[in-house]
Formats: sequence, C-alpha cells, structure tokens
Amino acid sequence: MIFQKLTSEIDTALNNFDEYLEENNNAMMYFTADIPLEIISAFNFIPIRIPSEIEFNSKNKSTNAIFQPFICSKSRQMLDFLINNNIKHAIFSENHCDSLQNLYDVLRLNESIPNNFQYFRFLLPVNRGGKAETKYYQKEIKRLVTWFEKTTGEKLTSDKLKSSITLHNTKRKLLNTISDMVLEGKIQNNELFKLKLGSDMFPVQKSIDLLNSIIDDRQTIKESNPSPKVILSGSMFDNFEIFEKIPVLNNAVAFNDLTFGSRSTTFEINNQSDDLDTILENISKAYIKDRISDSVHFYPNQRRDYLLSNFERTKAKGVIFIYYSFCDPDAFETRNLSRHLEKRDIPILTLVTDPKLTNIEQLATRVEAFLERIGDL
Amino acid sequence: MIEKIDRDPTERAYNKLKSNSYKKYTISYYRNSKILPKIPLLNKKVAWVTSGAPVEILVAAGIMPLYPENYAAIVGGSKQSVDACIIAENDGYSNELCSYARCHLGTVINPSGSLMGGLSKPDIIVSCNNICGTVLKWFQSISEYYDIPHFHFDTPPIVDTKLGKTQENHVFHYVRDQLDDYIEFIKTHTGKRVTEKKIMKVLRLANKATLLWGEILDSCKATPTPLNCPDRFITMAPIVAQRGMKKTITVYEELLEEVHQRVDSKTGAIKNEKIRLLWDNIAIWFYLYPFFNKLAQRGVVFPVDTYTHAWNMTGSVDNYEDAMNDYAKMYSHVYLNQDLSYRVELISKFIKEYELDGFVLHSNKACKRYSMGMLSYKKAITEKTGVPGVIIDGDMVDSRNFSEEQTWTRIESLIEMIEARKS
Repeated sequence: MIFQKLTSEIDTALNNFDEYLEENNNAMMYFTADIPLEIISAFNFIPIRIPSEIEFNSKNKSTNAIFQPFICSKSRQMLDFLINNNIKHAIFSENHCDSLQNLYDVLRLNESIPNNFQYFRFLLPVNRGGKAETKYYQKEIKRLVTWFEKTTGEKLTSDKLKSSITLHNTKRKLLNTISDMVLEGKIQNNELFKLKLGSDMFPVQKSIDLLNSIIDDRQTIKESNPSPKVILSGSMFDNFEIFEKIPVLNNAVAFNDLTFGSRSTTFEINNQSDDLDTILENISKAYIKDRISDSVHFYPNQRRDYLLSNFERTKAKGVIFIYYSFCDPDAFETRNLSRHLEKRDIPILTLVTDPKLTNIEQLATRVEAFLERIGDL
Repeated sequence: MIEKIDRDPTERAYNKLKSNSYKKYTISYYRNSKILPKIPLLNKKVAWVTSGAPVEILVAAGIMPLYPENYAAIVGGSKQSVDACIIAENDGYSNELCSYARCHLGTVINPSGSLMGGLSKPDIIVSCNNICGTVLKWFQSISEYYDIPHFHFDTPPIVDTKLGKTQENHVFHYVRDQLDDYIEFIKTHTGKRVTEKKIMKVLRLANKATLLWGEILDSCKATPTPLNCPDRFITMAPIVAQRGMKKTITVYEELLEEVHQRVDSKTGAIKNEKIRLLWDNIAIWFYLYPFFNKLAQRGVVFPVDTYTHAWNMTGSVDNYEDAMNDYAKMYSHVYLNQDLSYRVELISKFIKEYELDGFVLHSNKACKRYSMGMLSYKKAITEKTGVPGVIIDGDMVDSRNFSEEQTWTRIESLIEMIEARKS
C-alpha cells in the first residue's frame, strides 16, 4: 500500500514534469553521478537528476534537427528534456564524454535557453582515485560554492553543509539496505529503482521518510530466492522501467552495478569536522576516491574489482551488460570488462538500447534466452 | 554530379608537390620503429601516444613515440581499414565506436595480417583527452590487452569562451602538475631519465618545427593558394608524430621553400582556382585524392582546414618553468578541447583571412567530439560571415559509412550557390 502510494506520486510527477518543476521552483537539474548533491541541498535547492522515464510532448525544436543520428541516444534525450521543459537552474557536467561536452553550447546556439536560466559548468576530472584529481575536484566544488553564494546571496556555513551531508549519507545507507533486501527477496528490483527514482527527484528529507517507511513495511517479509541470479552492469543506463517491462529480468537481477544504482550509494562522506575546508575535502575524497567510477573515468581496475567482488558475494551465475546506443565509453568498458569475465568463464550478455527502450521485445527475448542458458549450467 | 570543365580529362588538375622528404622521413621512421626496439644494446623503448598527448617529454627521454591514429589513417589510405575494423568488431568491439580505434585494435588483434605487420608493441602508452574521450577507453583496452602501464593526461575543457573566460587557475595547476607526474611515470616504467636540459632542447626543436608549419599554413592565404587540403593532410604527419626531432625541421624547411616559390610565382595547388573553401574535421582517408581532385577539376580548392591547424601552437622556450607552464596551457587549448563558440569564432576568422567562398563540414560518424553540435555551428558561422556551408556525411577510415553519391549531391548544391553568388 505504501509502495503503491509512492509509485503513484512519482508517476504523477513524471507525467506532469512541467508542473512538478513549477511547484518546486528551487529544482537544480543535473545529469551525472559525480555532482556533489550535498552542496546543492545545503543551499536549499532540490537536486533532480534528468530522468529517462519522463514523458513529455515535444513542444519546441526536435532533437533530430539538431543532432546527427550517431550522437548518443542519452544526449538526445537530455537535449529534448532541456528544450521542452521550463528549466531554471542546471549543472552541466563537462569533461564527462564527447557527446555531453558541448551540450550547453548546443542549447545556446539553438536559442533554447530561457533568459533567466542559471547554470554552472562543472569541469569534472576524468582521472579518479589519486591525490591530484581529489585536490582539483575540491577546488572545483569551491567554485561551485562561490557560484551558489552569488546566485542565492547566501553564505555556506559548515553547519548547513554538515546537515546536508548527514541527510545524504542517511539516504545512501537506506538505499543500500533496500538493495540488500532485493538479494533477500524482500523487495523487487522495479520497486528498488522506483524508490531510487523518487529519491533522485524529491527533497532529501522526504526521500528518507519514504525509504524508512518502505523498509519498515518490508522487513518482516520472509526471504525468497528464485534462481538463476545475475548482475546487471552499466554506466549511463538509467531507464529503470526495464524491470517492469521485462519481468524475468526483474526477478533475476541479484545486484546492480549501475551508475545511478548501487554505485551512487556505496560511499559515505565524513562530516566530523567543523571546518568548511575540511568538509569540502572529505566530499572530494568520497566522490573521487571512494565512489565507484563510471565508464568515462580513469581508475584502473576499480570497476572490474567491484563487479567481481559483487559477483562472488551474491553468488550470481552471469552478468548482463547494458548500455545506450552510440555511447562510446560504455561500449568500450563493456568489452574491457567482458574480457575479464570471459577469462573466468562467467557467462555474459550485452544489451544495447536507448532511453525510451524502443527495442524492449527484442531485449526481453535475449534476456530470456540467456537466463535459460545459465539456468542449465 | 560534379562535371569536369574546359579541360582534357587526362590532364591533372593539381600541381604535384616536388618536396618529398616528408614521405621518406615518415617511411624511415616506421621502418626504424620496427627494427630499433629489437636491438637489445640500444634499449629503445616504444610508447603509443594519442595525437594530442605531450610527446616532447617522451622524445626527450629517448623513447620512440608511435601514433595509432596516424597509423590508422595510413591503413585507411591503403584501403585496408575496413578489414581491420571487422576484426575488432568480431572480437566484440561495437561497430558504433571510433573507426580509428576499431581499425587499430583490429591490427593489434591480428598484426601479421596488417599493414607493416602492425605497430611495434609498446612498453608504455600515453593518452590525453584534449582531442576526445574515446582515446582514453581505446588506450585502456590496449593497456589491458598487453598488460602494460598507461598514463592518462587529463585536460578539462575550456568553456564559456564567448563570455571571455579563460582557463581557471586551478584547472591550469591540475594540468601542469600532471606533467611532473608524467615525467615520474616515464622514469618508473621505462627506466629513462629526463632532464630539464633535454626537455628544453626538444621543446625548442618542436617550437621551431611548429613555427615552420604555422608559416606554411599562413602562406596558404595567398591567391592562388599554394597548398590544397590533401597536400596539408599528407605533409602533416611529422608535425603530429615527430615533433621535437631535428629532421622534422629539415622536412618543413624544404616544404616551406617550395610553398614560397609557389606563392612568388603565383603557382597554385590546383591549376584553375575559382572557388576557395574551408574543410572542418578529419580527412576521409580512403577517399582523399578522388574527393579533392574531382573538386580541383571544377576549380575548387581548400586553402585552410581546422584539422591541420590543430598542430599550430607554440609556447615559451626561454626557461624550464615558463616552458612547462606554457606547455600545460597549450595542451589544454587545442581546438577540440574548446567550446563551440571558439569553433564558430575560429572558422569565421579563417573565412575572412583566407578570403573563402564557403565551407564544408565533415559530419564524421567516427568522431563524436569533432562532429557533435555541427548542425548548430554551421548555422552560426553562416550568420556571422554570410558565407554558405554544407555538411557531408562520412567517416575517416570506415568506407561502409560513406556514400559517394550523396556527398556529391550536397557539394554540388554548395558550388552552385557560390557560383550563383559570384556571377
């Protein structure tokens, strides 16, 4: 019952996103998982990840008139979203990938930005895990803080930031708990990702309340463990309606290795200090060293080790890779990770789709065949 | 289709370059790269580098740099690239990936069946994302395939140039500090020491070669223009792949002399120059001469392109600190690492300075960084300059993504538009 109420609230927001943004005048749109949400919330903005699941009518220019067919399908979807919604604030992730690098310029050149649009172009490091990039990221988030202070006229204090970190740490922990409940059979993947979607668009305190209520509701359910089990792995893939549209996948995924899934929650930020600089340093360490990197990043072996350790932990029987068409980093990463799995005789399946899952029937057939295959092993 | 005009069809429409040391130099460089690393006494190490990576430090360390992109272009020009791409695709690489990467990876997987037996196996690899993000993943594949060390030089892009913004100070320091890490990486993984003195010597040589290359490119402003696109595409190899080597200077001195002679004697790259265009993006290597020669027969020449101008940046060589600071800035500011406003400004500037009638944008399926936003900046350039342009679809080395017929239809409409304006 609690879950149905939540689903209905999320679907209403997604289907009337313009209205949702109108009601939440302080929405800050972002689209990669290395944007420090703690800072956004500390300035009383609601961080909202641009979702793939959103439905809207294209009122303005069509992306087909702006992008060639080989530009990645996620960039097209994001451009469509930015053109067709009344966005007031956004953080653009620069240095992320070739398709996103010039997204803001494309918007500007097509005169698709409202006059009062406020934006920040976050110059992310590609290198991850080392001291130099951590120090660099810290300076870049200081630039972000300065931009927020200028935009809002408010000064960031360590108390505000610490509170925000506490809330986001709590949210991440709760999502990890729910992720474990998937493995225990107490919650379904479609439910987990519906919650994740809600937590990526609701104010953080509201998300915490919802997550807590779901955990309380499901805690008493007896464990059930249907087989076979697989890991779903990818980076930019983010249309979690796939679990509703392919029920066998929903039942089979034991763990997700996805940017906006487990990889956005498996880190915690230390907020024990009262010194603002130290807190910013801790945020940098968490995002650059601790967070499991994405396909666009250079952090040798981290993704491989994370995937393999979770494969062992969950006693999975195979790995399904999924990525959006024309996403070069994901396509390369999939091939590179596959090589490591092949050496270990781990069965793999690679799915390529787009943010609207237009080839869903084909995907379903391939998933079913793969599960049959590994079920026989 | 483009029609030939007023000429004997067997007559060549272009003036062939007499300078050929660039060709001999490139051939001998590749030949040496196959032989020298095999001589134990020389202890010659090989590095594979991306075209935007800081190569001068490798040269100063006595390491032989090899460029998979350059090699893929040669394989493409030899019309062997599709076979190589298919090998990579059969190994699991998506056919949507960069065709330089697929072509090169195909030769890594199957060196014995590849042109020149593939590139000599590297001891280290170095990538830099100032030209694209794909090179990182491509080189990561190689690093894992051979199990060899990989250094990635991270250069955050230059954005908001329209607002007059330059590189943020902390971005500069991030890039600059990586140069020190890079020197350390070379020492750790090859045992080669690099001294400040050696680096300065190489940087001075690289600067000199780049100045010569810049002068050659500038000379193309003349009417008739002394060099056409294929001339520059073919002669650019040493400035990309052998910067910082003495011989590169000799090669460009020879070429500059011929360019000067052509300018003085009003000898054009093509025999009957009528229309001057700009080329944006990487060459279509497998169709290089048929494309430009067919246009040359129509009197169409390309005095400038954004591709070869990408290697036209120099910095201070007075002292080590200033040189390394400039070096960090230089590698951050390459054409493809700046925003689209910069592209609009640069192409518009070229249109004015080279007195061009139009421009051709190659929408390159294999290069997303170069092609992303092209439909938008085409419009902006025309609005700014009043000069028409056309977008053609292609691919640098995968001929499966190129349609000759469609290309000529579009080019023809641009030429007709320009001819109508001129008359």
